[in-house]
Amino acid sequence: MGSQQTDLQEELAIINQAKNNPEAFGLLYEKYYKEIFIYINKRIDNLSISSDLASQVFLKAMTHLPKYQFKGFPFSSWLYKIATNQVNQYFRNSKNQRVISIDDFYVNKIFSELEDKQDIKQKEQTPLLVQLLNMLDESELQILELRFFEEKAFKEVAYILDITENNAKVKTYRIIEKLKKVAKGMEPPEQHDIFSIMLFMLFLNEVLQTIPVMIL
Amino acid sequence: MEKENRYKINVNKPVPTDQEINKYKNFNRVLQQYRRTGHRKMQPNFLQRLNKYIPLLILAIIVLIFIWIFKVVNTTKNSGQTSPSPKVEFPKQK
Repeated sequence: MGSQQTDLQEELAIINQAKNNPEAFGLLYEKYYKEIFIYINKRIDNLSISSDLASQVFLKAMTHLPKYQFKGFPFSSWLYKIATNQVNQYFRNSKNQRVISIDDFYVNKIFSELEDKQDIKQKEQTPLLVQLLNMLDESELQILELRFFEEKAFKEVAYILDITENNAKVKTYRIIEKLKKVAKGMEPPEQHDIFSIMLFMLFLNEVLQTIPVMIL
Repeated sequence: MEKENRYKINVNKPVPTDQEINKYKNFNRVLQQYRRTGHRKMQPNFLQRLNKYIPLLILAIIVLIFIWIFKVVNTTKNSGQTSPSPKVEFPKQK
């Protein structure tokens, strides 16, 4: 814990130095290039495009460094944030199919979240997860990737995806619920059905509140 | 009927080696790009703050123009009415 704090302080000192002297940014580049490259490559599946995007991420980080605000996370979180946006933009522009890279270690980790995990054989886990992944929308997928494949804390996931910590937790819980349904061989309920009911109730509540005002 | 896959899913695909990654690693290139473009993109702080207020500024200018036009029209109308019409006195009939 203490050494982590010291690392963060050291990193912050380098960032402050790099704000005035761009060469100092090289230390951060050396430290995080591999991590960011692999993160992008898992989603792009093309080495040369991954390298281009990784360079763009570091260039953007350098350009916007004066705006960087320390929020208690390592500098890599900010780089992950930029990389996520960069990958999203790449897919928006290219219309290519999104790539997800999974391996057995993380599959086991996800299934360990299920209460009745002993019912599912290890062999069956990967096809089930593939089935689930195809049911998730892009925002859910990003949460799943960051939480389980990148092993980020909820706070950090929320920071990277620009959502609240609670939202990240709720969405993860929903993904796990979906996975449970898939594992039991049931179709997961459509999420927007529940949302539309909630929205309708809110709308009804608003209307009921305005009626007495209108009468008066 | 088989559902169409939304995503391309790679299972247990090997991570690129350090050698492959290092082939693309080049901080000098990023630094050069930064020197070419980064500085130009950067704006001084006061300009960045001004960016947020530009729509408000434009709106304020439009409102001021409207007020000015309204005032000008009003004054021209008033100036047309300001010269009092001469009083014509008719001799009283006895």
